[in-house]
Amino acid sequence: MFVEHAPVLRGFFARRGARQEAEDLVQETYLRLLRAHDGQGGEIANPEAYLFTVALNLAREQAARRRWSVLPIEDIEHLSQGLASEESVEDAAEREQRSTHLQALLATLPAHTRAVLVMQYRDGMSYKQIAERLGVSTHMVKKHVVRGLSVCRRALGHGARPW
Amino acid sequence: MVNEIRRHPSALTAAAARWHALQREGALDAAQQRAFMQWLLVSPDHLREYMAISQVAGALGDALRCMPIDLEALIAAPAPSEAGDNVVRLPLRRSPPPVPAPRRARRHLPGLAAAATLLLSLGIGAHLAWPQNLHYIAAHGAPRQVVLPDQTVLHLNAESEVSVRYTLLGRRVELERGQASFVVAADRRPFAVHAAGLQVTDIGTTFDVSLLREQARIGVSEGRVQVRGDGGRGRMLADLVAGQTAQVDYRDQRVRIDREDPATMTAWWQGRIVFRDVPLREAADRFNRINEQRLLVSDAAGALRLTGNLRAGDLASLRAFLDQQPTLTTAETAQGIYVRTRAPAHDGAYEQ
Repeated sequence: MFVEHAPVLRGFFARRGARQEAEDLVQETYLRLLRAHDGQGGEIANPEAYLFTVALNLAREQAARRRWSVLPIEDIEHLSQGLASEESVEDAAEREQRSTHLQALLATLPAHTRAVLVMQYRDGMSYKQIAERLGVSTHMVKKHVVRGLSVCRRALGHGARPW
Repeated sequence: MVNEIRRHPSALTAAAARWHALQREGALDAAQQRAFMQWLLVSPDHLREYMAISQVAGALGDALRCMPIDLEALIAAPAPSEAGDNVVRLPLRRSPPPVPAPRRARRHLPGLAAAATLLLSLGIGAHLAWPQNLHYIAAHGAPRQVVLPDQTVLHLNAESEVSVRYTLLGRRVELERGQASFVVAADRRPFAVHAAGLQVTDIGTTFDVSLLREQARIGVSEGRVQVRGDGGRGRMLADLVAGQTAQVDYRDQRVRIDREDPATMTAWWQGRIVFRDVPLREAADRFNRINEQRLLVSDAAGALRLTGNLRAGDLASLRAFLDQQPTLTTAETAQGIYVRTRAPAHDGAYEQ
């Protein structure tokens, strides 16, 4: 799920220009979710899927409104024509930099946490499979995931919030 | 108390990561999905954090695919006895270890030193110099009072939760659920409370913020506050002075301003529940924060507006009070105290 949506989410840690757009996206997604939640008599069965559908639609609208976009929309729809190529190059450079930063971060995590992240995010194994492989409980696997993600999020997102 | 103050990682990041992990595990039941939706909708901050965590997860996939990793060696590594002390270098075969991180740290050093010098010259204590993240939870039935690092007094109602962040430039509190009052200490840094996407800025004051079912309610018992939408970037929704309350609808941000006796607003600090022309549903929520035995209110009865002043823990008086209402009747069961309108046929009729 999250891998498919990575292009939509990429704007969050971009350094220039993107922050305001990402923030608009968050606010608008929030409002639409709130409206859908209040408006629909029934429940939204899968809020996460709903959240990303809304965000994806908004990102498309945003990209259509502007000639260029910090969100690499071509990744989503292969609409590479007509988008400012310079922006994409910059984005690719940023992605590269972030990847390098993440690799350095990963090296500082305990071996088992790293192993869990590899099996989950690179190999797409289920928690149950990972738990069996490591000989621990799925609860423990989840703890590794939460810890690993939190560390990376904090390191990457440092200063991203307008406190 | 020390256990409840979680400094790192921030409570919000950890919460978002836990929801993310739960979603990846799959098989959430309807109740868990509902809880997740509610958590997302607490404020745009939650939604933003969830999207950011998802983004990090995606980026991790990218990064891991580009790395030579000996998974077997990682799995074979002894399980850590203590978190964090089992640091094993990745077997990077081709590329040299990445250096940007340390280099960046070095580049920041002169800046930090300058900032520290500036702080000292301003006479600001070191405890104020760096961001402080604090998190407080008050459990069901256990309202509490906390003195924050700047001497601001936080009254936290039962079943309530706040995150506090103090930086060099500002004091920010996020009300994540429930109700909290603030007796704000004088300080050159502005004091702001964020709740359900609203920002309440203090101008030398005692005030109260409460997340109700459909509205956020802000009451001022001393001084003045300003309320803005969109986490502080939106338009000004209310400018309140002592003795005023504002109720802001979550959905359309419609604002209703009322007058209220300042003593009434802070009555809950002393364990009293005071309500004036309030739907019974909301009054019941306030009692249910405190008491083991719950009030269960039918839809029709819940809409009835009542005025009362009762001790939070005195359910006998509350029952007597409810039974006095000409249209209400109560019944005690193992689940709690049921409150409904007198003629059951009417209950249905009310709902129409």
